[in-house]
Amino acid sequence: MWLESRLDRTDRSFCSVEITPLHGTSPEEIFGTFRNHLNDLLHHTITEAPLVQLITADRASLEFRQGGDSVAVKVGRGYYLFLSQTLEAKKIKAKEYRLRTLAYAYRIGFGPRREDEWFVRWEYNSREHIDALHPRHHCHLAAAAHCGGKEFSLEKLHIASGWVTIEEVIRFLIYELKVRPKSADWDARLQASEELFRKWTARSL
Amino acid sequence: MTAQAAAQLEKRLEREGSVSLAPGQAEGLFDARARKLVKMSGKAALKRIRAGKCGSNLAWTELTVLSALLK
Repeated sequence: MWLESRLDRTDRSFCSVEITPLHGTSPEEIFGTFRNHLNDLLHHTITEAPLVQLITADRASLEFRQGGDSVAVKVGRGYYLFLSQTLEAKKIKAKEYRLRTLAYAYRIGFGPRREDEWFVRWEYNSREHIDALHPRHHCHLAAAAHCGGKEFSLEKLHIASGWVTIEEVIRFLIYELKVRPKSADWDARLQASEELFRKWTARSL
Repeated sequence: MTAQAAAQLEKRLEREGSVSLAPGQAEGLFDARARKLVKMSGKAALKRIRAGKCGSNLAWTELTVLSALLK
């Protein structure tokens, strides 16, 4: 498999990966490559649930779905992960594309449905599609803080954050929340995947 | 898109894992999900999202990410 050979090579020479875009004949092919990669990463780290994908010309959305609804999936130790991303494939020249993330939402909670309790959410929306004034990259926490004589609802506040990758969310689940990884080389896989993300998006993390 | 067509598309998505939408289908699917999640038309929901006037609850968050599919 292409991905397996890529991971093997990346494990050995992680810092020398050449920066190249995604190759394919159409955005659909590019999105297929990306979905396969993300599913492979998830299946080797925290869940075997498959992501599904909707494609419209040069954009695609990814999420977990069941019974006609978006769901969070079980990842171990009672935690559930919600993941939703919308991406754009930008053609840079013949058969070469770069991916752009237009929006993402990640949530760690305690059940599959949106009515279930959650404790942290990371979200991003490009200004290209939303005219909002709150921090584009932000998180919400299911908590309140009382300090300085003020009361803060951390659930409602858009707390500014940096760019949060799905790899960092997976790392948080495994290292901080002690979710058992599905493979011993989870850390190498996450690092290799971040390297691919840099290549495919030309974004520095 | 009728509610029945949207339901069929959702089933296909879960069965096949990836679905390419024809022009107009994304708007139809967004409309169906908006009616289900926030009880308003897709057009009204999109207007609220793009103006940054939707709430930050989970239903709106999901719709907001999906709305980036629409140009």
